[in-house]
Amino acid sequence: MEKEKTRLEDVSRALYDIKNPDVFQFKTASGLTEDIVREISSQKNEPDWMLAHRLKSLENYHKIKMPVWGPSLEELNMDDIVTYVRPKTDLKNDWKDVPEDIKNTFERLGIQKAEQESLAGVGAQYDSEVVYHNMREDLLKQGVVYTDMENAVQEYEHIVKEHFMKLVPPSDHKFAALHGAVWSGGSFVYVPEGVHVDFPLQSYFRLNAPGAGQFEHTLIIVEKNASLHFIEGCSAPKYNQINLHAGCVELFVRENAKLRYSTIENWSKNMMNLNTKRALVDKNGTIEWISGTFGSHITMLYPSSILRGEGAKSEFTGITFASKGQHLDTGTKVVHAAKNTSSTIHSKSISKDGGKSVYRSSVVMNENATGSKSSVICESLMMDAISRADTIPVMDIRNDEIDIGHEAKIGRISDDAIFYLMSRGLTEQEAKAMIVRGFVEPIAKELPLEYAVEMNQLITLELEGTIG
Amino acid sequence: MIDKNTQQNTQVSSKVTTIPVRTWSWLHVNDTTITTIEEKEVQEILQIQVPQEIEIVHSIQEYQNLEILCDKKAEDAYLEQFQKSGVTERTIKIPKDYRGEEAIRITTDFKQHHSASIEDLVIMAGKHSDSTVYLEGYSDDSKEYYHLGRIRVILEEGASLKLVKAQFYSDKTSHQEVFGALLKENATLHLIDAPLGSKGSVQNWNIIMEGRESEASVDLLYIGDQEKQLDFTSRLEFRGEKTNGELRIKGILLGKSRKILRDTLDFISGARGSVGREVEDVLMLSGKVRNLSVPLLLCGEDDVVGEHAATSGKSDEKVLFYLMSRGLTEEEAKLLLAESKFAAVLDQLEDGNIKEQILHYLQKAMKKED
Repeated sequence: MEKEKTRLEDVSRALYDIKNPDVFQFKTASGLTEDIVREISSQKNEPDWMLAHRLKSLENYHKIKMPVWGPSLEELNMDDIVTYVRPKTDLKNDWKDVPEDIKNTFERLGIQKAEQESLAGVGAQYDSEVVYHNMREDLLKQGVVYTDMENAVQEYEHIVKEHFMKLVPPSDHKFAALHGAVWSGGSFVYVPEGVHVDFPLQSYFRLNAPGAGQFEHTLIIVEKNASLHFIEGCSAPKYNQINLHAGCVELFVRENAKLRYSTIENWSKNMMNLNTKRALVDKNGTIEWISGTFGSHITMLYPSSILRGEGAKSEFTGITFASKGQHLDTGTKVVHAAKNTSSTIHSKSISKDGGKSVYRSSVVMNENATGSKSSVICESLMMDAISRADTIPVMDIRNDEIDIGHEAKIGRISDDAIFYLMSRGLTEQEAKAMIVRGFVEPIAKELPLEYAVEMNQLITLELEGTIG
Repeated sequence: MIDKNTQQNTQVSSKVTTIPVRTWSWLHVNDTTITTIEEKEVQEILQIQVPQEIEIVHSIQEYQNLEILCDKKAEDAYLEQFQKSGVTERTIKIPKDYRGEEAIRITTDFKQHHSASIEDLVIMAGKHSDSTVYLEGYSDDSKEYYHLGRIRVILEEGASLKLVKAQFYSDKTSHQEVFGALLKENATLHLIDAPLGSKGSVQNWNIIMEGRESEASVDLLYIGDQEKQLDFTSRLEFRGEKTNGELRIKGILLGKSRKILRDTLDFISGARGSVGREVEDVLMLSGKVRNLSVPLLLCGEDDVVGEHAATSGKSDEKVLFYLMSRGLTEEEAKLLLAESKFAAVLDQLEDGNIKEQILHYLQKAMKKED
């Protein structure tokens, strides 16, 4: 007799699927042409070097082939994608000045409440432009800069020019080139030497327009002995056509500095999420990636750390939840490029209802990375036999003075674990609930409290019969 | 896709994709370079010794289309070589219920009058048979030799086969091999493989546990020394219910050697109750080695357990210090640690000669690096 299985419900999307009318101030034609790229640059009144950068990126885009690994991107037709949508508002720093429909969207998503209760600053992007930005006064006085990228290009041009797409050059891959050509919006953060930002800053990216792309650029520089926690959230309502997200995140963590970069991604299931994130970490600096991938139709996302300073550290904690119609290819890359560097990777995934989750990683220990250590643990939970969970790690070790350990595990919930918990007095249902929540707990505990609560709400258990 | 380009006057190198699922191109782990040669130089120097009850036959129609047993992509390139050189498969038929004490011995031994050997071997273990096969490879170092082997093993229902493979080719010999096995219900394969010699091994294993409760257990030993390039690809496919597969790898890297191992556990939908494990343990004894590991877990079935673990590092300084404090030189202490890596596998070898040769090869390799 077929055993009844414990079911894990889909991530609830009701909140994220509320659509606003597609109202805009300006929108480019769909597709990708030089005229469109020039138009975007002109709309932003950019300096010549940025236009040149965009045009060079477009050239790269046409030269670089589609990836020959990972999920199929055949459904993506750039001729159908609108790369720039300017919402019907300018940048505001007071919520009451933001148009009602946009304000209501962010209010429903809890952004304003979070700003009041637990954040040091908030940026909110709607389609291609940031519509709201604000930060606590005391941080301004300490020299912290938190603004949208367009403003940064004008006001902090020398810093932006020195760092923009230097970590992720447009030649890196096809979607980095696309980003370089049509980027719009995003956040610029500068934390001066010795400043510790005690509450997180948060940028939220909302894509409302059907058939549009979002290409925000996030550039963060945390100077010597400084620290920051930056949170990124993103969502979109579901449409019957493909939307595209090809953002880019570049993080510079200077000597002895610390940056935690948390993301909860809950794109709609018509979204191609082809995002690139990279951090460069100097001596004794620390980058911490917290990454939750719940939404999108296809995701290819691998936050990368280049540990170039002696004693630099990288920690990656990620969870991926793939359900029906989703192919989520996530993971991380670490390059140990200096002595005594260390990395830890802890990844978990859940696959159900035909969803496919792939953990993909690379750990490279260069010749000069003597005394370095790396620990990789990845676990995949399969909820049924129509889903898939694949693990594709690579370790490239180029010196012997290292210590590297890798563990991977795929399977369903262990009957032994249920039996043990039941022997300690729990009912079968309590035992199952405890095990599934325990599976995601190591990730949940790394999230800010309100996100941990949200993640627990996203994953709802429906318990029936036995697990398996 | 095969991208050919002439390397030497008689050799052609081709790139084939051996990894079951591709990953980032910049890592250069997706493809393997294989070498084929002009057909006029090919000989077949395989010597087979079998007990009386076992039959050796050439070219059995039934096995001619068993291409699925080996990695298709690498095999395609080799098939052309087989056809050109006129090599036909030799099939060793182990009869049903066979329980012989005497092992089957298959040897390739290059002598000066040889230059290249291409072999296509099928081992068919009949229902409920129980047998042991030794496959050994040797060459002198007087000249360059070329060796290409395809080995296909079919284990019928309830068959049990212990297959010990070891090659000690000289540094001048080129060695490539594809190995495929198909296990029917309750069949058991224990493969011990030590591809130690040659100027660089390219080996590919593909083991399919098709039958319910079939089991495959693989021990792989390797030593990379000097500038040797080792390119290994293995795949255990769990197709039947309650199958069990385990891959244990012990490696030692010395000098400027480079090793890549792509090892895959592939759970096919329907392989309910299956368990697969792979463990790689690499001892790196030089700062100039390159150690690439690509351990894939592919899973299309929920009711399975798949696990992978890998550790890499140099000798434990404390253990070395302890051994040296007991009177051993540093070289002796390192050799002892290296030997201990292989000990658990060597203990499973009934053939003392092969065991001695593996240890001798290890001693020689470590001495070269002193």
